[in-house]
Amino acid sequence: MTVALIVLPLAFALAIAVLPLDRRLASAAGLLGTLAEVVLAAVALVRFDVGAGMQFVTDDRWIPDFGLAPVRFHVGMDGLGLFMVALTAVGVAAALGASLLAGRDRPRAHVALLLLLESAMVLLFTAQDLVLFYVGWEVMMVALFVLMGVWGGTGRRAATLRFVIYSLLGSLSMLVAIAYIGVRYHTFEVGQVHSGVVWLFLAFAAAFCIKAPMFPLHGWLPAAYRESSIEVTALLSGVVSKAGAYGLLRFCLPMFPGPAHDWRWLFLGLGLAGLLYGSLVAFRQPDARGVVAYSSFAQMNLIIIGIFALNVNGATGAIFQMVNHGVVSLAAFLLIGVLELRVGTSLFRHLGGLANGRPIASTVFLIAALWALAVPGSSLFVSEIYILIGAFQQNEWLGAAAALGIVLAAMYMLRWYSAIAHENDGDSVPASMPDLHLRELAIALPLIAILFVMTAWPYGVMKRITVTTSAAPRVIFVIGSDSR
Amino acid sequence: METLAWICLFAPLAGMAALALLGSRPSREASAWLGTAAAAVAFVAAVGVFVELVGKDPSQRHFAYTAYTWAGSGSFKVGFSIWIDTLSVTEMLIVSGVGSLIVLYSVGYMHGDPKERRFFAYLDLFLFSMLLLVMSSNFVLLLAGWGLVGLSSYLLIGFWHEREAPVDAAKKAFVMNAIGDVGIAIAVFFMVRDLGTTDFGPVFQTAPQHWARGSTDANLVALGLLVGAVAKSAQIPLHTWLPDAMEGPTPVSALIHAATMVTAGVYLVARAHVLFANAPDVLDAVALLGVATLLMAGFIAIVQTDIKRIIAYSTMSQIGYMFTGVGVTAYAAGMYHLLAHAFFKALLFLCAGIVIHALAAEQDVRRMGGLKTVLPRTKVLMWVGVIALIGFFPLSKDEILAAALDDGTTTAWIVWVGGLAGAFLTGVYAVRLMRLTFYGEESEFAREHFHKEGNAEAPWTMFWPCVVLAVGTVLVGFLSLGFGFKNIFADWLSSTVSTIEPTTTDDLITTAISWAFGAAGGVLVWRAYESPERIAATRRRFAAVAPVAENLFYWNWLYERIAYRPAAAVSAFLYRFGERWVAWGSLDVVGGIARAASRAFSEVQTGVVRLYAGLLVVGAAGLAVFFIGKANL
Repeated sequence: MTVALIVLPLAFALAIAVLPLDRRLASAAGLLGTLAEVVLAAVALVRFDVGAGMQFVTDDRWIPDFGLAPVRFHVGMDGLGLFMVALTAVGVAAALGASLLAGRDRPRAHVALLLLLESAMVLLFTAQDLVLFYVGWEVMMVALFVLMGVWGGTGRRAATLRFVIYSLLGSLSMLVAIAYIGVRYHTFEVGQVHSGVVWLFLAFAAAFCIKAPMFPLHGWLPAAYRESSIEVTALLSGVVSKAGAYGLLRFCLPMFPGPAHDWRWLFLGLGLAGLLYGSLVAFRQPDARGVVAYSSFAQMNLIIIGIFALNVNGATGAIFQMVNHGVVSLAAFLLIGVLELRVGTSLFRHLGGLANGRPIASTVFLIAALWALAVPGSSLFVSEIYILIGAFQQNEWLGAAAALGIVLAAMYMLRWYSAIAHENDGDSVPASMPDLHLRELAIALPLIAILFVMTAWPYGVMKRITVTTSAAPRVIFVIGSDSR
Repeated sequence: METLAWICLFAPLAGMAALALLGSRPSREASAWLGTAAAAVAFVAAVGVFVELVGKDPSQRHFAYTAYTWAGSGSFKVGFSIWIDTLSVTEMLIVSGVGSLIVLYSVGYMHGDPKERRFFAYLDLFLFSMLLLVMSSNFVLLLAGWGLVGLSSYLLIGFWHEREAPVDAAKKAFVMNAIGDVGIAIAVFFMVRDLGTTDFGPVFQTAPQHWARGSTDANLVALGLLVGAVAKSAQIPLHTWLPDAMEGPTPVSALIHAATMVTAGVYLVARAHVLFANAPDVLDAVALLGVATLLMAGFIAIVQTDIKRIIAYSTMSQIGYMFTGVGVTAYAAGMYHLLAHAFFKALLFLCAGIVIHALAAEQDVRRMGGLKTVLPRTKVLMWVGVIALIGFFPLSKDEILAAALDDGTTTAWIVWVGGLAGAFLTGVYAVRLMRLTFYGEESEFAREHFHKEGNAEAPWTMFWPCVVLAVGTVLVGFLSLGFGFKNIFADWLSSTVSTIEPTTTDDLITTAISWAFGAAGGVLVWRAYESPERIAATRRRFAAVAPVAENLFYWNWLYERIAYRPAAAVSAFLYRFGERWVAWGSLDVVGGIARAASRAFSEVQTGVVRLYAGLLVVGAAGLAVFFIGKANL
């Protein structure tokens, strides 16, 4: 199962890259591949056995003697990996749909790269071997560099350069750490390593916190989110950022329980700073992309708070929030993409009036805005509340301060929606612009349907996550196994 | 009973979903009636639950039903659960009953609006949210309902989003209520941390054992809930959104901003009375905030010129009375005023709606006058509401004040004195409203804008709901007469919340003073408007204090300076400078190093390829480190 999830997009990517397909065929093949992946992920979701730990495991010899320790092709999914894989499948499918709508140059290369990215991300979300994970991580980066550098907006060169520099710093530190682990502990198996070495922990954390990004390591984010083509921005915010949070949960906490506990306040403090800072900056952004970009940054910092709360409620909330935020930011960015195609800009001063005689468009944007601000009752409300409960259990003041994010989120998201939808049509809005077409809706509606299902039954996701911890203060997370 | 309760909760949601999915397929009329039918089904189901509950022994009148586990982690679970007792059923009846009438009224009021269908979908969404709020059996689900009514309120205030004012008002309402949500959320955090649950049953049972009476934690829990209640119920200091909310259509003002949602804070205090009783200082704060609000809003109402804003400040003031009621632990009395107020305030708003409707959307009372000849039936209905508002009958306000007199603590004395002073203010602004709208000389504007000569009365869908509300206002008065008569309402609620039963003497003293003050206020204002000279004289007499009321006691001015502008300035500063130094500045350092390094490979000039080169170098370096490490061992 897991292997199929990794290989399927890779096979499609290679086929599309090699075969001389025209635009239409390449697009159709890409859609087929990503949708098949969604179906596979859905099957895994249904067949997943709640509380049975790591599942769909393949564990084979890969490189028998890589240095001193063997590298194994060890993949599998627990609750955390399962939902990250599902999010990847949905995200890439939606992103591909959006890119087809926009019609990108060099369609074969573009589609193939998206599929390669998907394969790499599924690999990194399922790998249980450090080297294998690193392979997925680096292939993901390379695919992103190219997607960003070739198909982005006018400032894409500078944006890509920034992104590469930051990413390489993180990758480098992680690579050194992985190598040291191989040398020191003679294994690359995630489950085998329990270490108290602080610099190793920090080296891993650096890579993941750059990716998330945690405050103040977000220097790459504004330009990257503005200059990438919208489907890449949506994937960066919706899925790729989750790889950072995933890494913290999968590697940093279980492998280094001692340092994670001793250093938790570094991450809690910076996470809180990032949450409030990002929310405030989002409030004054001049464009629709900017607001969602900084909102996404703020939300990732909230997730980091949930992770380093080091308790069951915080971690469960953080994982659920990774799923929730992934879907909602995909929806928000792809909708902005639709708007940009119609209007040609996402600057607020040229927008407005979407709600005038365009009931479907305004409703869809409204839903995205409301879920993004975690309106009480929504799935994002649930995940946010659990994170905040976890933070509060760690420290009252932390929980109370982080709760202020609720108010700030309402401020910037309502401003976002009003600037797009309310009052008179903006000067760039074409006269009598029609409501959303079916093919535009086809991108947004599945995402919204997922949000609705998770709102009606958050426990459907949360019970599959099942986080348990061993006794504090040396917290070890076990995800997907049953405590009862 | 369980089935009926679920039907009551979900009928409006089903109505909303149907309206949303059908879109523009059904005719406007069909959509309007579908929305109304959904509300009516909820009301019928609520009546069914009520009848079954009456049939039970008073000690057995509480039930909790769980549909499924809604959310959960390994250590804390939240059920999708409802809680049926006399308090929640009372609220269910008010919400679905008054709600149905107002939805029916909207069929006439919104007729011809291009977004009629959306309006009814929003109304149904509101009813679902409000029912969820009053029926939920744990604080997380209550908070969900609490936030969703805020959302519906946002959508309906900003319903006419082509103009700037409604949009700004809607955002203001949502953000101020988000502050309240944070308060309740913090109370939830305490419950989960210390009690491991937010279910009403266990929380109310174990809270007093875990949090010592008057301890910091007990106070903070109650304070968190109070912040939520204050925001939702537009009490000082989170009240400034309510007058602005009058930008919404009038049925919305009647339903959400008078009869149901804004009184949710009173419901919350009554519902969580165990937690408030465990924090006596906070309970005093409830009462004192109520007194302050009822006086301030009464003053402001006197100088308002917009018919809806007059009634809005009146609502704020009346909710102040309810807060004083639950604040002095006369919970049933507070809830009784909530019930009576739901009727007479909805009536007043709907009558105002008829006036506005007849005058082509004019809301300024200075441009009205003399409407008694063209709207005679509306005038009578509105008098019923005004008489109830001043407190002649029902005696709901007096019951609170008499209970306070009976209670006798310092806080209760302040409540009693402040409440009676408020009765005078109520008489002034209520009679002024009638006087300016219906009496005196017909204004030029009024003469011009009547749709039809002589008969501007509303269609039956608008008129009959007002009649039902007027009759209801009077009938409600008999549920709790005071003076030693059987207190039907308090007896009904006694299985859930207690009240203070004042002595007949207390009743007599309080009612006599309250009537006298109310009548005095009314007579004085009536005479002040008798001639232009008198108006001028009155204006001169109050020239020193009037600006304070006219400027709304400077709250908006203050918030603009201490909240909005600083927040905007900090955001702008962080964006302009913070981002440059924190994020981009650090990058310049890193970038400088990288650029210097990449110059070594400058044969490869094109950007993307250079990146690959960089990648390769880093990869090679990593491998080198790795194998060096291996060699050492």
